[in-house]
Amino acid sequence: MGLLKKIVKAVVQAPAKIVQAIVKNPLPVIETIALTAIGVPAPIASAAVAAANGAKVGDIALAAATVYAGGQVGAAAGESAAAAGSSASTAQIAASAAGASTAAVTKALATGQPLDKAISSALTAGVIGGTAAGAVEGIKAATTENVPGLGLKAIPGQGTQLFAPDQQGYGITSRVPTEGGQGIFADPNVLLPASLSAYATPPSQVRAGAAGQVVPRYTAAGDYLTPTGMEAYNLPQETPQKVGPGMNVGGLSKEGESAARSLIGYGLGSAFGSTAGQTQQTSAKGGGGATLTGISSAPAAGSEALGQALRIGDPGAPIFGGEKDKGKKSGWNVESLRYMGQES
Amino acid sequence: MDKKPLSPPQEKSGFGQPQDMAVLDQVKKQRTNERLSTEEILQKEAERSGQDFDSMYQALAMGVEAGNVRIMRANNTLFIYDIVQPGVADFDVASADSDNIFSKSVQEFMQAMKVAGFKRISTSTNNPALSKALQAVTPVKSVRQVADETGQPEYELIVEVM
Repeated sequence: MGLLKKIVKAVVQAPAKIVQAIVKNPLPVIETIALTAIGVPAPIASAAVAAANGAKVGDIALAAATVYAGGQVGAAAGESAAAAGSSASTAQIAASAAGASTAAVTKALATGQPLDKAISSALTAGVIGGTAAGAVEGIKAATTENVPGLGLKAIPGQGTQLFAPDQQGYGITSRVPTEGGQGIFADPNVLLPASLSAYATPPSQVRAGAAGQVVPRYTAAGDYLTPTGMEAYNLPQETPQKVGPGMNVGGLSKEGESAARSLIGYGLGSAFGSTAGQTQQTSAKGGGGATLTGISSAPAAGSEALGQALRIGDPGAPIFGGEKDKGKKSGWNVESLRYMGQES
Repeated sequence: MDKKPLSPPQEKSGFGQPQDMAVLDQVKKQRTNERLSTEEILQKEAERSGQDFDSMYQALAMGVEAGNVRIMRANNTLFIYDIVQPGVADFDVASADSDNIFSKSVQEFMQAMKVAGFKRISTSTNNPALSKALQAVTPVKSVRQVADETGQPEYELIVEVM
């Protein structure tokens, strides 16, 4: 089956009003001449290549703008842009190169915009404003009645005009995550079923910074502006805390800290099978001097067995050899290997 | 000498009526290869292939907007293609060109695809002119005859862009 038939087959038939709105707008088409002709200005050729390779609107405009701004073709591009202002055919090629509307490019050039800007604005008006806004307008017009089968029921108003050319910026947030966008914030409340929505928590307005400190989630000024009367809903600003060996754990009193240490010591003591009445001293790994004092306790049967197996239940007992091995150097050497041979 | 009576004047043919002029306009456009609009080309393609123009246009508009489909134009031929992977595309043709101009259009399209960095393109067509034009322009890597959904034969062509 030909591609065209496949495409047509794949698309669900929209209501007639929407189709009419789409058909009223020109389809963006790339002219082969923009790619093949000699002397096509570099920004146009670049935009055409980008468009032909399926680039998005922004990328096409960027391709045009990048070459346009490039030092190598700066002069040539400047001339071509100047010429383009008066050349309808260049405007046509430029428009078609990027898959934009010729009229929109010509209009943009006539208002004194440089070529790359003209292509960019024409693309916005042509591709998005043309087909999408056309579709949106069609949807808007069709919303006086239900749209069967499409799952679309737009509510008339500004919220539906996402891509209209005169309303650029809708749908794009100005809230930029702080510190380079590390971490993506998901609202945990979306997981809650509707019946439990009463238990939803407000999303956190702070986040962990690169150095472990707490920073605002977004840099937008809107975050700092609380409407009058809404101060009660402000979340408390958390202070940065660092936890390390020998440091006071924030939020615990002296007694609580002592109890916590005892508990940790008890856990370690049990794990290593410390004997009854013996005080176990354990240095935290890499802790640099943090000391935890354990509570005296009887070893569990399992711990005792493990201790016997590892010979750590009897402090001072050598792992290899005994009294007869005194004076022998520890370590793996020829002597020790001979010794092991005698043992077996 | 008897004079032979003159034949009666020819009846008025009605030529020159508006509907005839419309046909003449079309013929003129084809002969001079006047530039048709995209809609006109698609309209012709819809008539030729028996598809609904509105559906076709809507599908193309949505495909282009979604970035799945690109349309390249040479003369009065539209090359509709889908980028399968970088450098590889599947394409179809909607044309209002005469045969000799159509082969030039195919040539231009192939050149444009080369400039755009494509390496291989493929198509399924029942249009012998396309097959012929492609083979004239570039070596065809493979041709396979298959049956379309109606049982009619069509060709699957894979072409190296060079």
